[in-house]
Amino acid sequence: MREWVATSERRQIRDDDRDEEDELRMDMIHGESHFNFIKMHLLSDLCDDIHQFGNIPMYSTEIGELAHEMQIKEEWRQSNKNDAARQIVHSYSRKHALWMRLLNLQSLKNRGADHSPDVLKHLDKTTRKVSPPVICRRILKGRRGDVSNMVDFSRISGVSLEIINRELIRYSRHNLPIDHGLPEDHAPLRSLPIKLQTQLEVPVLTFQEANVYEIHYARSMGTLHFRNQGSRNH
Amino acid sequence: MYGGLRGRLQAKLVALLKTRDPRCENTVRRVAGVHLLTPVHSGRLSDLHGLVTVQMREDTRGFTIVDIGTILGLAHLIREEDRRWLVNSRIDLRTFNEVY
Repeated sequence: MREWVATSERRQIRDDDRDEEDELRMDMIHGESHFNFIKMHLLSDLCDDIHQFGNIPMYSTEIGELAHEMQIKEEWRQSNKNDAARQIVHSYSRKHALWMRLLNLQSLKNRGADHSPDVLKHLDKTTRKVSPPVICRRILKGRRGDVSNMVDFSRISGVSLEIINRELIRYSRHNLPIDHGLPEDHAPLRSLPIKLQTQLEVPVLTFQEANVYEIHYARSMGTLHFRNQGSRNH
Repeated sequence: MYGGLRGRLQAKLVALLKTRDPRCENTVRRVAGVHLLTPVHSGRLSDLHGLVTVQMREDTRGFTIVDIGTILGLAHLIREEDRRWLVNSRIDLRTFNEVY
């Protein structure tokens, strides 16, 4: 009987301990499980921040991510994984110093300094070739078939022919060479053959990029008013 | 020029034209008919919202013809009142479209 009681007590104590551990574990889990950390908080304030401080690309984390790839991950792969932190620091520092040295040598070369043939050969091998800037041309699209001269254009745009002619002459005087200017008489201007297009693609440099363009699609509105809607790329 | 707009001016794009001049070896010129807007207070930034306000011209001199090379891109205008808009310079179109 005494043995049975002792066993029962032990079981009770064990169950109590287990319950206590479970409660403790759940408390720890609940204590750590929340969304009250900075990353989630920043998301909730994103719209307000843009209103107050401007667009977000200037706070881009891409540079940091790229640095992590270049400075840490590549060096980690090249290390022998033994005391890797020291190897990563040494390797990147050495590479950085070499890049700086090459830049200095290139700068001196551009200023006309004399270098030994070995240095010149090495510079030619390591210097990145700078590609010429991409020239993006504006593209006109969407021809309307019902306009063939200025009279037609005046009719559909609601602008008087007199104003159109006046502005064409002003444009010609200010922008075109004298020998390639438009006629200044109204009669030939009226019969000037034209094509009316509806869309213009304008390449616009992306923020903080040198060669990356995004395309804005400008559409002619004719006599319509501005739309009171959210912005678009067209 | 134009205060905070720094030499740029908003306009309504009325028409895009290709003209061919038979007198000059059929030279093609690409021009745009635009209705220029006028910056309010010479383009000074408002103390209230920090944006430039533009308005539509009442006279006929608003219409003009420009080379399409002078069109720099789209501007985001926010209607303030009739024929008057705020130029949204806080956020570019791409970010605006991504967020909203």
